[in-house]
Amino acid sequence: MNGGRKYIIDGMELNIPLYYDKQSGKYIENYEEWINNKIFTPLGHLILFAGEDACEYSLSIDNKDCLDCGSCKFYQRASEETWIGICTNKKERRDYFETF
Amino acid sequence: MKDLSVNETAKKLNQNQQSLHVAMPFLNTPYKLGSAKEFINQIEDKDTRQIALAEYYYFSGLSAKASDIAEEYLTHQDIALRLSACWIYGYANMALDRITRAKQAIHQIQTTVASIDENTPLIYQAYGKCVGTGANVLLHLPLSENINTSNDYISILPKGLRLFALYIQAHQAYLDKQYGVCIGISETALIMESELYPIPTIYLHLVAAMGHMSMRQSEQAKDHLLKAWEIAQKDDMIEPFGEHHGLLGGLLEILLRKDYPDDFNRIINITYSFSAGWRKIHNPETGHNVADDLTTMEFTVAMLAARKWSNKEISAHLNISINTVKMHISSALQKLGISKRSELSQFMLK
Repeated sequence: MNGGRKYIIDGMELNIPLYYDKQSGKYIENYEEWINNKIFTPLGHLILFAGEDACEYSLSIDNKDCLDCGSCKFYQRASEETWIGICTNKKERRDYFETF
Repeated sequence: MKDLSVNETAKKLNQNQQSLHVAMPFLNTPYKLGSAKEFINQIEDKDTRQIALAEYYYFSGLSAKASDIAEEYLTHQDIALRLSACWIYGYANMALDRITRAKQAIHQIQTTVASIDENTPLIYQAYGKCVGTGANVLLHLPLSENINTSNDYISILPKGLRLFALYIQAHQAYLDKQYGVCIGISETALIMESELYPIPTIYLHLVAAMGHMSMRQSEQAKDHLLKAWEIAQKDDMIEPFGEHHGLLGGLLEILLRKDYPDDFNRIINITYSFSAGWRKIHNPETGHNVADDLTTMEFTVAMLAARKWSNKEISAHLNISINTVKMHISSALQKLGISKRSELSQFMLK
């Protein structure tokens, strides 16, 4: 790993590790921790990367097929420079999971 | 299916050589599986033998050797030899990242086709249409103005080239998203074969696999891929698999990686070198920016995602964990600078 990037979301600091990709010559953010584990922000929002499959509650932001979180109006990226973000749909909130 | 001996096959080709040359003689011959080199050594006509050898080297993934031999025939006065040499040289030099040479060869094909008129022997007119169409279609380029798009030339071609011309037609149907037509042409051509022409048969199976994958018919696609491999293995004709990797939706990973690891790695090396050269010609000509910095696995996953396969479906198809799929998607999205998979198609092959 080569350092990382920091983003703030829901008041929480996310430290995203980077790795160097030889094929492209670029540094790529590694979302393994959030892909492998269900992690919530202090406000109960699930942290997801943009390419996760769209869930049953998804709604398209542009009236096209909603195939992934990145296409969904409930998805909020931590920043324009990253592909990690949170789902703001109340049915994906931690307290919803804990209640139902 | 009739299986000619090596001697019988070479004898037939030698008889044909008494008049005009045959374009792409190796592709155009039903050589006995496992005896490709032996067949070539028995070709009497020196020029035909050299072109056949160049083809053999190309289809074996030995582009440098193919290029060296074909180079001698790029301006040959015989149209069949010239067209064959330009085609082999063009594609071999794409794989070698000698893009200027590749472009020159493709331009020479177009010039040769433009020079063909009604006084040219009919068979040579047909060769011109076949090679001219093929050179453009397989680069996913629009057909140039001097290429007649009618198919009447196909019936004039000798059998092996006829099958390859049908592969080109099927490939064009695939590019036009007429996947049922693509499958229909390729499977009918395969059924109608009375003798096994190994090279065009490999290509027909591969394009049929592409069509089936596009229709999410994975089992039929796998069946075709395995049949192509069964034929190709005997003489190490691995180049077609490297050429088609990006269009096969992970079939090579699923079917060859575990059981044929060395061959799989060689095919992947061919994929990287061929596709890099291919893009350098295709992308500027069409303005279609096919991605050039994804790994083969990332490209495979991205192609499926662009076709609206979910991560779960990709995982099941490729027999890898869903989290691995997500990592590949993550990498692809970042490298391409896009935020959602619906934007992937602009960077993918058709």
